[in-house]
Amino acid sequence: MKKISGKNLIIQSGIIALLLGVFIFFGMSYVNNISKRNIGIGFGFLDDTAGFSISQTLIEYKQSDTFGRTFVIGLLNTLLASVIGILLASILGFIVGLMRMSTNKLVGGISKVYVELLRNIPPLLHVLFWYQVVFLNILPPFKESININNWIYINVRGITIPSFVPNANSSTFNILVFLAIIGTFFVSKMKKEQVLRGIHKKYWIWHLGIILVPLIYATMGNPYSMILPEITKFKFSSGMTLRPELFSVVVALSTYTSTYISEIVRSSIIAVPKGQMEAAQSLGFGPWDRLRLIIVPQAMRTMIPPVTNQYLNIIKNTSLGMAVAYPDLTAVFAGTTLNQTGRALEVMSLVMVTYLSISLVTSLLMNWYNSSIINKKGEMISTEEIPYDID
Amino acid sequence: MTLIKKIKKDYFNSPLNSILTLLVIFLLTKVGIWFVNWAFINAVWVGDSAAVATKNGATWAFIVNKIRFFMFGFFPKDQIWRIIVAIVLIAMSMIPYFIKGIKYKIFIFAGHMLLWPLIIFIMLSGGGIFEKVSTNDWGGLTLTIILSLLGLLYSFPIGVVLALSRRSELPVIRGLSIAYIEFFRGIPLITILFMSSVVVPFFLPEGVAIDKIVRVVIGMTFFQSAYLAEVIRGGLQAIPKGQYEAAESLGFRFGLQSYLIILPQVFKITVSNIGGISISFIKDTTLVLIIGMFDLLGIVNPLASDSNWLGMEPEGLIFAGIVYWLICYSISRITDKAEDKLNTLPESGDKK
Amino acid sequence: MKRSLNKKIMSLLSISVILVLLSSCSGKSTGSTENIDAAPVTKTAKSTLELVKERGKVVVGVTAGVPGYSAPDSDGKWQGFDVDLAKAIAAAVLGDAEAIECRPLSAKERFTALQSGEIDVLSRVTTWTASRDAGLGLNFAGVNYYDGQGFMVSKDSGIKTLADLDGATIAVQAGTTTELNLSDYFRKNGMDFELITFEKNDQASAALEAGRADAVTSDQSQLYALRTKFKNPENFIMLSEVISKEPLGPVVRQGDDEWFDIVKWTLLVMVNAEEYGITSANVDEMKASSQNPDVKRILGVEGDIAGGFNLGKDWAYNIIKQVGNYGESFERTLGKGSPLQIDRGLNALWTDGGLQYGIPVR
Repeated sequence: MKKISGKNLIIQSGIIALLLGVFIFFGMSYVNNISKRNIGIGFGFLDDTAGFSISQTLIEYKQSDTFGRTFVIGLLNTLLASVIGILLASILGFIVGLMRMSTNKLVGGISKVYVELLRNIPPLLHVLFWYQVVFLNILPPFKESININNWIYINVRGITIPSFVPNANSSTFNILVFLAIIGTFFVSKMKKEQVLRGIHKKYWIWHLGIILVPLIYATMGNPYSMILPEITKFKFSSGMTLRPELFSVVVALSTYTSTYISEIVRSSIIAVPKGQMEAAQSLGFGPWDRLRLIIVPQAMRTMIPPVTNQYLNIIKNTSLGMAVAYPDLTAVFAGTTLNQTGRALEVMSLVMVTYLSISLVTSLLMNWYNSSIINKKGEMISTEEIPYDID
Repeated sequence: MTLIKKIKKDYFNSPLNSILTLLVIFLLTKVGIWFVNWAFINAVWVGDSAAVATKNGATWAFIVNKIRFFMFGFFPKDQIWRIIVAIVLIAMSMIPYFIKGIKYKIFIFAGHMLLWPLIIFIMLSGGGIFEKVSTNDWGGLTLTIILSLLGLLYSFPIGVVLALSRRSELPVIRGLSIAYIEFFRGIPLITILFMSSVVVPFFLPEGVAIDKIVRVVIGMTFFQSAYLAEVIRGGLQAIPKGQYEAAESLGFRFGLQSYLIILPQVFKITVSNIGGISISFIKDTTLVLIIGMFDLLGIVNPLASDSNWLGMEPEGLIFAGIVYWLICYSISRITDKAEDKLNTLPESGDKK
Repeated sequence: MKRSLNKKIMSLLSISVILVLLSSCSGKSTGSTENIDAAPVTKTAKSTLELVKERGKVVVGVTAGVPGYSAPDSDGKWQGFDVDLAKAIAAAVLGDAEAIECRPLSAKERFTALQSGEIDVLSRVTTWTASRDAGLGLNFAGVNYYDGQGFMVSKDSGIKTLADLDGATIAVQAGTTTELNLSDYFRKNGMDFELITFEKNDQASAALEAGRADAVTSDQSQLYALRTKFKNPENFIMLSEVISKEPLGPVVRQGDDEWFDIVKWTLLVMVNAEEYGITSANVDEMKASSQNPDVKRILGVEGDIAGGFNLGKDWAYNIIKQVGNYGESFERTLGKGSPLQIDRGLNALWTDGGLQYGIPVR
């Protein structure tokens, strides 16, 4: 490393000065334009009354609430679509990735067609297709819903399923479920340790027992009562409805992104040395244990950075929902609120900073997860270099 | 005999696989029959209005009737030859890339950066020579191609500069390029398009107005160059250290020349990544429909609200999907081929 | 990976710093704004009139396609009631009604486009409200259509009055006054509803057609226009009640009174022409032989009103000759001569019980 030379200093300060100049120039003309048109400046508008309503609100929202609250509503809707999209895309991507490696050529071929077909079509077209073609064109109108056993109704207004209302003893059930989840986790962990020591015991009886306890309680004690959807004049007065706007965004983005995730899954599994598989086989691991205990943990290391990028893409792509009236951050805040207030720069800056922060937090979480699995040296059998990731 | 064995090995090698194979075959035939009926047997290819549609078939007559708009948008009918000439000119200007004898193809690239917008301006907009056609009337596949071509063209040099700056020893330059790259990679493209359509006009001095299409191209270039920069940086990092050291020992300390040696190698390694990124750029151009431009996807709805062709959105969307698929799939094939061809570089374990 | 995270944090920080800088610097300048406003505006830039004359075209912001108001015809040429007004302005200023360029704008873009100078005049079914007039740096140059917010429902839904809509799903276009009126009305009457907000008006009406929504709300005139785009228009009806006043009119930038006057009087001349019975068919005859001093003044035979606007003497003549009077334009684009078949209603002349009233030309 050389010391800071005079030349470098001049270059750098020159660049800063240049940027500052450009910044001031555009800033001046902005202030000039804004003041000439009598448009206000600043974030004070966030405390004003919004006056419009929003179709999907996760927390309580009234028309008399402020523009600031519309920001929160939009943000929550963005997060909701992102979380569901990420979960579905991961599951689908994992399944398709494994299917592509199937020894059955037909299954492999089908998943290849799935990947090549969906990934080469723009995500916005996916979203519009699900909304305009599937919902608005194919599904029946409200009064002629597809009715599955009076439990599920499918129509142009969305998919309505029964809702569950807690009874007095619901908290006992909740605790049981919670205990069952912890129990399953511990049994799996125990089994893993045993297997790594070379002991293959059957644990499924334990699993079954743990799952059965809350199940039996549920059938005996009725912790929740199921309320079937009931049709009134305009809507279902009970039950939960998944709106077509949310459905289109989530399904479109998760199928689209699953093609990328499946490729990542496949290439990371291929990257695990073949010897690992053979060794596991000779040690008496079953096919499922081989995958779960030997291959996937190793593939995970190469998988996480690129998968994180795909997750970030899903979060950013939820903004496409505004094309189908899904009230996400972009549609509610950068759409309606911007329009009612006219504060374009303020609204857009806030939206951009929000997306940046979401991306940052997601990267943080994934990094933490990544280091948590890499640090457990005991499970990492392979000693090869971690291939370099392109961020 | 061997065929049967092969089928058995590939499709029926275990009970589970046999069931899967049968299931897939069953589903495929079901879906296949329905699809062939819808897309071909019951489909209507000729007609003047939506009245010709059948109940269980596609109405391709809509596409046939509106193909001019899908391809060229609302460009005046008697002026469409200008678009074709422009596309031919641009295609011809790419020929030098494929001539083996020419050195310094980078200068050809620089030439294109001036030439292409000029061609587009003169041929499509009129440029004072032909009858003026407002950029509002640009649309369809033409607009998609213009946006993708110009976006890619300009994001390349910016991406290279950003990638190099991110590896610079000067903290200010490095910091700025990191801020730029991470900023544009962290926000959705649609917010940038909103900025360019709603906010940017306020930043221009009075009396200066930039055409919407230009603002959109600039915004998309900013966005794409950040992604390209990361791909190129990945390539730079994959170049064996020795190459840099050799360049350095020759006295080119991070000079332009050393990069003239290294960059072509970078492009060779990253060709499939660059192909992948180009595909995403093309897919991203569809977002302009949200800010009211009529690209190949955006033109579907206006065409389907023609009173003669109401309710034709499904056909329009599927047609647009097929066109996008053909474009993107062929690019991925081409870059895969190119990668096989180019990757004769010796693999090196010593990565920087 | 860790390192790249630090970079991300750094970039986020630097961007927030920029934002803070920006907001603080703009915050300071609001103080000085008042001084600018108090001082007489010095004309540094060109006036809109000069720009238009130089360009040879009037750039007008229109809808992305509302039949009757502004929509491209089969040749791709923009036609409609709002476009007619733009044509009249072009005829007055440049003597050629075809010298216009239409910019289709979404509801969201329209004010920015005008504020930033991208367009000269906004003629895009825009409702005149106090907050828009005062807060957005705009001026409304009159009312060319008196409208009200109505509802369209499907015939077999059995909905007859607004009260029947309690609990319904209603589709609306984002960023419009209709969105606010709707919320206000339902809140006031203690009615419950679910709102779906679409980017475009025809998406909202498509939602009604597909059954996604029970009703679509917008300015009544636009509902008539949207209905013509339905597969089975006869299956949909308009509720008779309206919940708001929607005076629609052309909009210009604040601070250019000359251009404001030209737009305002272009509209008034068209109304006056109808009052005095001047049409595109008889305008030549009237100009040559009319003895009515009002007609003479309008057509530039007597007096010099045009000079006050920095326009040619024939400005009003050109408007009437090339575009027609208010009534002609209305009937051709919205009324009897169009598929929309809208009644004059409030938009009849004041002499016929309507609200259109020509300010005297003298």
